[in-house]
Amino acid sequence: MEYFLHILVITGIYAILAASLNLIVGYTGLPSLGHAAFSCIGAYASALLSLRLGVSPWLALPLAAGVAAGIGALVGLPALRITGDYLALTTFGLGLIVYSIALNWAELTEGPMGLAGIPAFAVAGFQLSSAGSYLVLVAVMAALTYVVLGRIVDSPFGRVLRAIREDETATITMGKDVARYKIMVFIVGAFFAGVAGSLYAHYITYIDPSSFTVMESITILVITVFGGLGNMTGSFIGAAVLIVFPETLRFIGIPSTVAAPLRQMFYGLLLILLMVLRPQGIIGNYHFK
Amino acid sequence: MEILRIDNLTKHFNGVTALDGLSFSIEKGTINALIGPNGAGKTTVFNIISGLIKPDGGAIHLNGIDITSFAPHRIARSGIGRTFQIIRLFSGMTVLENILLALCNKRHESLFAAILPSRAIREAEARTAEKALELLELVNLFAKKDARARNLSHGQRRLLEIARALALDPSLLLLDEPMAGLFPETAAEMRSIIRRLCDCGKTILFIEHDMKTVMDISGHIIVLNYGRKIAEGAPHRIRNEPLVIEAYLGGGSHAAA
Ligand SMILES: Nc1ncnc2c1ncn2[C@@H]1O[C@H](COP(=O)(O)OP(=O)(O)O)[C@@H](O)[C@H]1O
Ligand SMILES: [Mg+2]
Repeated sequence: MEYFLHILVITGIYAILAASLNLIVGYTGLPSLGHAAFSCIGAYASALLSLRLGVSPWLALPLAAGVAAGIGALVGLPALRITGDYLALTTFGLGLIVYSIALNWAELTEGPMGLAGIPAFAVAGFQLSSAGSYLVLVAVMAALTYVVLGRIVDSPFGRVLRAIREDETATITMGKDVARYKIMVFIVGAFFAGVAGSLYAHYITYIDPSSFTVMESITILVITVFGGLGNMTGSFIGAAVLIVFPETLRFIGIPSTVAAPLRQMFYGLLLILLMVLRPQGIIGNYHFK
Repeated sequence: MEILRIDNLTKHFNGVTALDGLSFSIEKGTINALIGPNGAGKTTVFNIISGLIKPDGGAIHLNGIDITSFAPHRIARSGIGRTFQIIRLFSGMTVLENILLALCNKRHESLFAAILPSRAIREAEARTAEKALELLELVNLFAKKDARARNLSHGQRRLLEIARALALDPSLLLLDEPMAGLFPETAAEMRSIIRRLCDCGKTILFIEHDMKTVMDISGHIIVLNYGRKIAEGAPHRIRNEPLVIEAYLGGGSHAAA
């Protein structure tokens, strides 16, 4: 039971990641292959704030998300000049850079050793360290993410994002400062990815760079594409299906040393299948041109 | 009164001279045609006026203000609306959404308003929707308001693109081959819309190959060939201009109708 709740916590965290990536990739049509970089920043910032400075996780979470958002703005900047495949490569590069900083700036991040003993969230002295209690927190945050991102994409602001996705040049000639919107999208996307990273750090209480590899970014992208580009609900369903399903491998007796690489192959294969058979995902309404 | 002035515009595309010292100006409230054989540089003029590409030399003034270095979205907000030779709609959006997008201003489209929409914003949205429907009526697309733009006929798409440009409430409207590919009755509708817009005080500059349309509705014609202005003036003068006749008939171009 505890294990099942744990899977649900992880699902919630991935749902936030996939939904925030959907804003960037699905709604605005900006390719992004480095989303794990933002959750990495959120996780490390939150962990360091609470470990080194004694900041409460409740405060560390929004601060860390803010740091991730700031880095998101920096990534948004090249998006002004770079488009299409080149932007995909740029975000890919960001993923590599953030990963290697986490790995090599040992004074700050403890390098491959990782950060251990990250404090848990606490409510009136009660530690949210069990999967069950943490699930409540994650569920609330996921719901909040769903509402906020949902409002964004359904608003006039979101309409501009869809316009950018459909035809950037036409959007500009409609008087929209497309550059500004792109930066905002990366800021918001990175913010929620940062929230997810922070939630992860204070849950597992231990983080190391291996949780934020480029493969991780691909996993998030697969969930987003599978659920459906341009559909927030799809991102949540995608997370539920793609996080829970590979876990069933364990129950049919496959050892975890085999299950982990199998899971990655599964995601890779799924991505290829989706591109060929159903590029818009299960309930999406947009696909890459 | 002069609304637009182009001075000595030059543009090269990797060795190809698209515009070569082009100058002309447009009077407020008039209908003007920009004509010339294929590849003469007409669309390039539009792209430079709307700021999508920057010239290698020369300047553009709108109402006396130098807009040459303005970002394209700022030029649009300064009162220049345009359409494209190859129609560019938001095809996955509805007809109404295409217009709403163009009508909404920065304040309505802020991130803050998205997350915490105020009553004032919602009321403004409702007014915007009314305005959008009026524009759709102008181009006879009211009945199609909920259709996806991609499902419209070619003629309807042209009309929607014009309505969308009008939503910016531009003082100057640039239309790149608005009649291209239209059936005669839609073309007639287009001509009457252009005339009506002019009556409402808009200034029009349009690119067109159909000589009958050009001679019919424009008061002033500018003729380009190889990026240079070879003639300019009222229709009856252009019709008899030897250089124009030569550019169209002598150059082996089949552009002229
Ligand atoms: N973006 C571009 N890149 C390279 N060459 C271009 C570009 N736009 C236009 N040209 C070239 O400039 C010349 C003028 O083109 P254009 O303005 O489209 O002519 P027109 O609209 O009069 O038919 C042509 O030789 C065309 O190939
Ligand atoms: Mg052209």
